[in-house]
Amino acid sequence: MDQIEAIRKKQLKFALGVGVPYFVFVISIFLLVYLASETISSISFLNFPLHYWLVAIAIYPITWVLFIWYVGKANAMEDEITATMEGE
Amino acid sequence: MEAGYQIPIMALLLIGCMLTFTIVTTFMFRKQKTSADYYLAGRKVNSFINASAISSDYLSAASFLGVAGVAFLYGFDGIIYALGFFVGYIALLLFLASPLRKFGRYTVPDFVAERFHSKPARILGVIGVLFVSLFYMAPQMLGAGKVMGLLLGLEYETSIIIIACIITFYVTVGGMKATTVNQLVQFWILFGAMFLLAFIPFMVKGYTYTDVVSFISSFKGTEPITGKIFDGAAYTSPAYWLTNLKDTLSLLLALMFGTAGLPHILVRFYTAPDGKAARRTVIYVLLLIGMFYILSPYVGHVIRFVFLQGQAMGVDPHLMDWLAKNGKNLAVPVAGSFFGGQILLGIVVAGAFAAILSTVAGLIIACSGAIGHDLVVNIFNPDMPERSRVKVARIASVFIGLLGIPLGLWAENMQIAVLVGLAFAIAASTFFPVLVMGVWWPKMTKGGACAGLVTGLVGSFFMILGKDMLPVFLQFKNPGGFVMILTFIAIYAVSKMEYSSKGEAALPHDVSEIMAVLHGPEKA
Repeated sequence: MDQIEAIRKKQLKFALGVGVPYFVFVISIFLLVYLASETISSISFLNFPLHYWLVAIAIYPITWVLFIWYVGKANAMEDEITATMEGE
Repeated sequence: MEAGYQIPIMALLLIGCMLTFTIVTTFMFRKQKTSADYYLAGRKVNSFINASAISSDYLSAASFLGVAGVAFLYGFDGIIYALGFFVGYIALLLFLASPLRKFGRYTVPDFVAERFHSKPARILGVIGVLFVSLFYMAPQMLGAGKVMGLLLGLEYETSIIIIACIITFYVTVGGMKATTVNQLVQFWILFGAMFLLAFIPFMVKGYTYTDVVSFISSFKGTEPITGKIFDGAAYTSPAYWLTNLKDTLSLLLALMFGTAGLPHILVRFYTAPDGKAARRTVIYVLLLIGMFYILSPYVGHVIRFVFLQGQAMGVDPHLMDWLAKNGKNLAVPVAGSFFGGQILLGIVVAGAFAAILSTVAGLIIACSGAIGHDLVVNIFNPDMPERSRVKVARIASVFIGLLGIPLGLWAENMQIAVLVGLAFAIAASTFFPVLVMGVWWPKMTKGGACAGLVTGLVGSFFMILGKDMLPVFLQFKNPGGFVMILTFIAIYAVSKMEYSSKGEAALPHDVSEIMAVLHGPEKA
């Protein structure tokens, strides 16, 4: 059971290690956009307002890349756990 | 019916094709041998098919009609809904998809009851499933009623009754297998419709996102028809509708964590073959719905762009009238009619019906699972034979499906995405904390689970339906984030108190075995 406890902690640490920075990033973008709305609204990138870039476009590809990596890692971790426990 | 309005025959033919497919599929899959077949399609759905079905389940009227509608209505602030609905899947992926699938039960109350061996927790779970799902169903019926009324010139009430009967029939007869196949096809109809709605203005008409936002932000004057003052610069800036940080954050948290507490989405992960497939499914879902949520706020802005230049662009007067009166919910069908005539209107309305049919079907399955499986079988008659269980599930489906009629009537004057946001609030404040803590915290007690469920249910009930009775600092446009934090505190505090007074006896006797199932390797 100590082994399961170690696995649980490892999985939780990995999920939090990816999830907490990601959620902080999303909330920070919102705080930035809402608290500094005048400054942000006045900045354009390729003639498109920065706040639209951040909230309506950029967040999607960032999320895709990050979580495709996450699922690969999490599933590999799961295979590793299975192999370790079967070997014992 | 409005004078001069002609029923679009071509549009109706397209919708007829989709409904015929739905009926044929429903009959093909009508034989359900076991209740696992009925609720979970035999747990053998592959990742891509499941992802299309989950996306279809998730992209409800709120996403298809509501996100573009709320962007049409509130401009930049409306985009928070698209982003929140999308990000919602991350919490599900990180904390719940794989462990819940490994646990392998039918419903969310099943998890709560078996994790804590508690009948009260199961009953509270059933109440939660019904509360969230019925709140979610109301805006779907609203969308269906408005679109059908628009298309056929029918009274809103008549439309609601017809839609409720169609959906009830197809879920009751087909169960999860037919629902999954239909959802797979329906997803591609609604995704195709949204793609065309963005593709035509962008590629054919040349209205780039940049041009549209730039035109709107420079517009200051009166809106056509309504004569209301419209300030384009404010509309395309943050804080046009979400005027204070408290509301913005609470709404964002509700949308970010509500998805991971939606019973009809969670139940779909039980249909994956294993925990790893459940994770892969979420990735496909993120790709599919992400593309959808990039397109829909653009469509909302394009329709605002068209509305502001109505006369100059030669927009039909009846379309202008629909936008002025109910653009918040009908922006998408109007865009279909304006950019692609009857054919695109037909595809778009078929997409709207696909969104509504698939979501309500998922909600009915989740509710019938809660009533049939959790309440009738597990609480009242655990020895019920398998055939009777399927019968109970079907009776529960009829009951829930027909409840759509009063719900649709109640929701008539609301905005679809805002109303669905409230269902997310209940899910985020009720199930998300209980599930996450239940899966990851071995020291959570039965009392903690019940306290969390009660806090989430009572808190969201009063803060949504009794909002006006509360002091101003406790009034939220969406209280989800605030109540969710209270629920986490309640679970932690009650579990700690119970543990400190009873010691290890406060924990379920098999907590180690349950943790092994949730986090250990899967048995072949």
